[in-house]
Amino acid sequence: MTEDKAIKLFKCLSDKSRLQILKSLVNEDMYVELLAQRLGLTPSTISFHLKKLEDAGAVTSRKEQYYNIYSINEDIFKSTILDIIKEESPEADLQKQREEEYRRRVIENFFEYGKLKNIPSQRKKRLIVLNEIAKAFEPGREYTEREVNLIIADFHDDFCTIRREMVCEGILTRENSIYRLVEN
Amino acid sequence: MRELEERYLAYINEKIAEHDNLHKQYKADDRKDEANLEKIKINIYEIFKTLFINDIKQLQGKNLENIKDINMYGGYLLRFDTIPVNWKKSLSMAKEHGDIVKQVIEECKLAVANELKEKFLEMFNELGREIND
Repeated sequence: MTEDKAIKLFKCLSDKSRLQILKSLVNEDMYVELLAQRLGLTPSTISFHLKKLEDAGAVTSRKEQYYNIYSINEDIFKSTILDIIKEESPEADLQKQREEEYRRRVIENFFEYGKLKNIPSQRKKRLIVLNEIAKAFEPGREYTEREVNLIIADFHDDFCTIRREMVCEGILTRENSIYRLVEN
Repeated sequence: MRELEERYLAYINEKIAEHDNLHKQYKADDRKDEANLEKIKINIYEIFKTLFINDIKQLQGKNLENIKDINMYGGYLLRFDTIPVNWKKSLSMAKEHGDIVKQVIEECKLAVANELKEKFLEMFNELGREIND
């Protein structure tokens, strides 16, 4: 387990209601309404906690007829805290992890459900955002300006600015009005 | 109708105190997320309280003792349509993307706004009946 994942899990577990949910799931798999009834919480509060537990890898869910059945993820709880502490990451990996974490946060802050909320003014963040949009382009393929605009418009209305920025930053090349993704 | 304003503000203050207690209880009980949801509700009560105080200032100096026209408070009632617009949008996006955490938060905000609107209309009608009797 990486440090990031461990921190996410520990943060997630430091909540009484979530611990109560896990205590119930240790005994048997359950669905939201049953957990709500047993713990005296509203179904929406239970769903809220289950989503956090699922994101932290503490529970898994499966669909059975009309219900989502939740189970405890035993594997994650089998590793001891000592195992997690002992796990070592080389400095290069840590640096990569930090950068990845920063990139993830920028994307989380600037995108909502796949749409770009606004164009970052800070260059470092703008580059991350532009590179994220670049994932919608196929390497080696040629695009007309109209096609480029249509792809970018799926992310943000100001496709002209973004298209120009992508060319300026060397993410796309433009030759005779034909655009190509620059492969790294 | 000054009585309506007083009663309504007292109701909002009661709700703020009630949810503040819950917030403290949950926090003390290590239920941070539920405590945060209570804080979100308190913020919505505070927003509508501030707007209401601001809106009734416009009515100051007018004799409202016998006025039974709900349109007097049209500006405030309109807030219940304008303020939650983005919350509704956000809720619908969250539902579409299965973002349960956001969904619960937006539902909380909308529930408080709805409750405050219903309460205002209920109090207005109650007081109207009292005046007529």
